[in-house]
Amino acid sequence: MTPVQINNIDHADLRVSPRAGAAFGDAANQALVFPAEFEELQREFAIIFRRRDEGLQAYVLLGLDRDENLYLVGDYWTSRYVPASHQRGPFSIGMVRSSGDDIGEPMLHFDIDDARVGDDTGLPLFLEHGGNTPYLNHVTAVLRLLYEGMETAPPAYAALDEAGLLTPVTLTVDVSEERRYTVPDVLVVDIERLAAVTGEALEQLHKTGVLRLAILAAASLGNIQQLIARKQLLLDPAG
Amino acid sequence: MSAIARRTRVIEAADARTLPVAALIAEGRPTILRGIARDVPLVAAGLHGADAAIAWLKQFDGGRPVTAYRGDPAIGARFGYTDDCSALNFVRERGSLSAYLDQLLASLDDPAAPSIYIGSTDIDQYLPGLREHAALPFGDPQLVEHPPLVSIWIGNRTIASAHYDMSNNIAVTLVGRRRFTLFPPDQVANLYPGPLDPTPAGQVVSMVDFDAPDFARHPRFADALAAAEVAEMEPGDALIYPALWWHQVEALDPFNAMINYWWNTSPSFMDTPQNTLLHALLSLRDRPDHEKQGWRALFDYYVFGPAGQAAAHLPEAARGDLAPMDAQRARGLRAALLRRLNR
Repeated sequence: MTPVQINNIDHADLRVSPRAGAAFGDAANQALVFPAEFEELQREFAIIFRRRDEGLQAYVLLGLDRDENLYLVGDYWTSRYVPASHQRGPFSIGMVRSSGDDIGEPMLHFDIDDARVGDDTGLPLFLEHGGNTPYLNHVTAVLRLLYEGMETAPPAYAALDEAGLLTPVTLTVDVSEERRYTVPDVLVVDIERLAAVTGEALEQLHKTGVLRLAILAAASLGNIQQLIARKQLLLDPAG
Repeated sequence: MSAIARRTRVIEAADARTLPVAALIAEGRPTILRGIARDVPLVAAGLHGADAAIAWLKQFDGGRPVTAYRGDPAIGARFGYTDDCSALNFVRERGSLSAYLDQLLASLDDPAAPSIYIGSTDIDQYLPGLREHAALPFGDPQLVEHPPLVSIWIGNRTIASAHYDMSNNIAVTLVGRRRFTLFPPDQVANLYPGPLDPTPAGQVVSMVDFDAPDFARHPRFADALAAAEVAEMEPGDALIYPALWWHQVEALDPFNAMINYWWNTSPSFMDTPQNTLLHALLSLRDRPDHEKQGWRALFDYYVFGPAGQAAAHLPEAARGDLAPMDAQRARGLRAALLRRLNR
């Protein structure tokens, strides 16, 4: 990977393909997600948490087998929403220092080694005179969501955890009578404990927006049915 | 520098509480406020010695790293450009305020010490508590309604090349002597402004070395000198001058400290005219002269003339953006400009 900072002079005519695909890391059975996209995610995916060395992280389940993304067909996603960590394509944020005295500004970069960069059938980043195309604005918004998410997610998840709202489970998914999958070591929002929060603790969770995240994540678990349906269709297209 | 005969006018025994700040700015010229800060403890400490001033300042170090400019002795204390103008002749770095103060103290008498300048440092952020002991109690309603940005400037012998700022300024010399060399805004062409980018500290600076002007390269600088005035300040003196006056600032002693107050009276929804200027480079500068002259007439009519003139003959309901600007209208105009700029 060779990140290059984007500018409207060197990259005036550059096009980038917005396609997805296994070659670009989209064939994964889970995707890292961030609080700002929970609302979109919970319409489509099951949101779960995992305890990592660096702290709690949130993911959506995309598949049941290894490298299986049931929402990916060829080079496009079939879901109505794509997690920002995959929407970003070959783009990333890098800190660029303008002088020695600052920590730098987050600036948009792309990976020049990515096959989607420089694809003439792709979308332009810049308008004729150097303004931003809607595609570039979209990518910028996605990267901003990720960049801010890395800042805001840890305290939000920690607050969920401290309020005792996360419960460790092993998800059991029955795709058919003879086919059962287990997803171990995940944490989900415990609906009963959520219902039992009262008083000041409740107000605090509400004020900080953590209550909303908890409700969205809890509601999202029903989407496991969608995941099962997609898996069943894959195993038995005739239905 | 001896070519400048004019000395900035002086108000003796000035008192911050009764100082007519708005009226002085409206007059459109600089004024020295002699002794206005004589009671600030840092002035007394500084008169005892640089070590006392440094010890006094250190008690307010809030611990946040400050930005400092460090220049090689070879630059002659003048923070500017390398000879070919391609880069700055000093480095910007960050570090502990107390450590810089120690460094300044240790090298007070060392002629080979680097030039160190900690410029425009927000006192509330970096020296919490200092305001209470060092800020002046300005009573003029203009400063009450438009609270100024209060910053401290610390260093050894330094020269900040002539530049303009976009805010009105009251610069209070607390430790060390300071010399401001001031030029009215209309002297811009005679000062040979440098590159728009990079700049030493965010503002374009004059390319003329005032200590050794090269009149072959910068002949019009002679006219600037004829329009210039010099303000010599002792600890406890302040200088008030309007926005956009060009000023070179020399800190003259082995240790110097100044606190300044920057303010504008315009509402915050107004954009900086610096953006307007940059956009005009894009939109106007390279057009044919007859078009430029036409646009000059339009700008005079819509912008530089009386603010109400373009709307006065229109029914109120039809004035649109020609009516006085307010926060609401500014949002609409900003949205339209953003759309139009992005092409």
